[in-house]
Amino acid sequence: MTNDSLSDRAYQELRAAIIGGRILPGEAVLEVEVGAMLRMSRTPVREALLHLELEGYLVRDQASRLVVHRLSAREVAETFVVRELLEGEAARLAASCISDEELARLGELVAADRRALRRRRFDELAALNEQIHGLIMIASRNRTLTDLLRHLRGRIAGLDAFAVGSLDDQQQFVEEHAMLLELLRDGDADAVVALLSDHLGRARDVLLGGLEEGEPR
Amino acid sequence: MSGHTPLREKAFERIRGELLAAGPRAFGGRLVEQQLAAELEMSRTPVRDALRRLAVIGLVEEASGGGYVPRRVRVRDVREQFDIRLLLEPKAAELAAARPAGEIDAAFAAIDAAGADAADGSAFHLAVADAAGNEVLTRSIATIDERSFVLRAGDACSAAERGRLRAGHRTILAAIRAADPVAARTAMRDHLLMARELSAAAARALRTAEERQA
Repeated sequence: MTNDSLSDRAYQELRAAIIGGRILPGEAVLEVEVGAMLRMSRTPVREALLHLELEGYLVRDQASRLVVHRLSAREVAETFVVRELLEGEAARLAASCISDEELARLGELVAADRRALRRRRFDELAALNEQIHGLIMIASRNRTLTDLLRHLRGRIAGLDAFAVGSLDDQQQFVEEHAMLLELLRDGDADAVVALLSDHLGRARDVLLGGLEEGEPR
Repeated sequence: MSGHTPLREKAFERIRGELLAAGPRAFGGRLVEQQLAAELEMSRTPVRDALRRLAVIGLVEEASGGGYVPRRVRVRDVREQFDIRLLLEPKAAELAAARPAGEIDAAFAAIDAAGADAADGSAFHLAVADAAGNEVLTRSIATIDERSFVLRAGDACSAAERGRLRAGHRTILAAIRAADPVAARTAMRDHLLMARELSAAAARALRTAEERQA
């Protein structure tokens, strides 16, 4: 494999581990350890880590070590103010320019979301949530928006492991994802933005609730 | 590993500074890791990291024969950036105006230091973002600022246009001082709408000049 595809694999694996809660907020991610774990040399690992740092998944602590970003309740609240503005705009743009292929893909993701809910697979739900919101973001076709949102989403990603909420919450999220798909298909921009705003408000409250409890699942 | 981050930052800031100042002609139009490392008197690692980061934020793009080239300014990029600033910065002005007077004294000092009259609006906009008291919002605004450069060029707009932009800064500042969130929001919005049109025109002019040269 070339260095690029190796580094991409390292990036994907580490990102999934953070989203899935296998590496927890505050935990250090060391080049050498990752290299040993994935049986890779340091160069591709380095690049993967840099990428994750740029996207906000990892930050440097005082000793300049990379650690999984751990947000305070205040940062979560602040992040959601910005996320609602940006993701609302992404959804508004997506309502008018999402492609048929993207709608089809979103349909598949929503179906997988329902299956994961039936099987109570919370780790899959976290990954699907990421993909569904990511797809809407990309469908906006605004690069500045996508870059900023990617960073905000990266910052929050590690928290999903702390804050799955109740089964009712998850059921509600899955339903809302399905409704987002319908509204995007209809091209109803105002309704998409309104629903997304409610959806994100609920997600914020669940995350903040999870932070108060302070224990990973 | 300590001392590593400052070097990366230093490489990033120096290359970025040159890109903003010289545009497509920066570093002879081509950024090669080894040459840059020699030029900046640094090892290759921080330079490589800086180049990757500049590629991610869209100031350079990978060249077909290896290395990077400065990314050409596209009118579409300019519009996109302003569309996002129009979401974030009116909100920041609104939040700044809504904060209790005592909390925002330091921010006013920063805005004064940045100068509503400064030729480069960047410092003013960042100071207002800071005054909003939402660090994530501030950082998002700073991220866009980091990658936008059209109006910075000295000849990007006329003296009269510059005057109107500065007047916009003063109106925004007055509304924040008067603790009027709605007025602050509106003033920021109006100002950015004007800046967007000026920037788009400047980007178009730049393209035309480039094409004439080519």
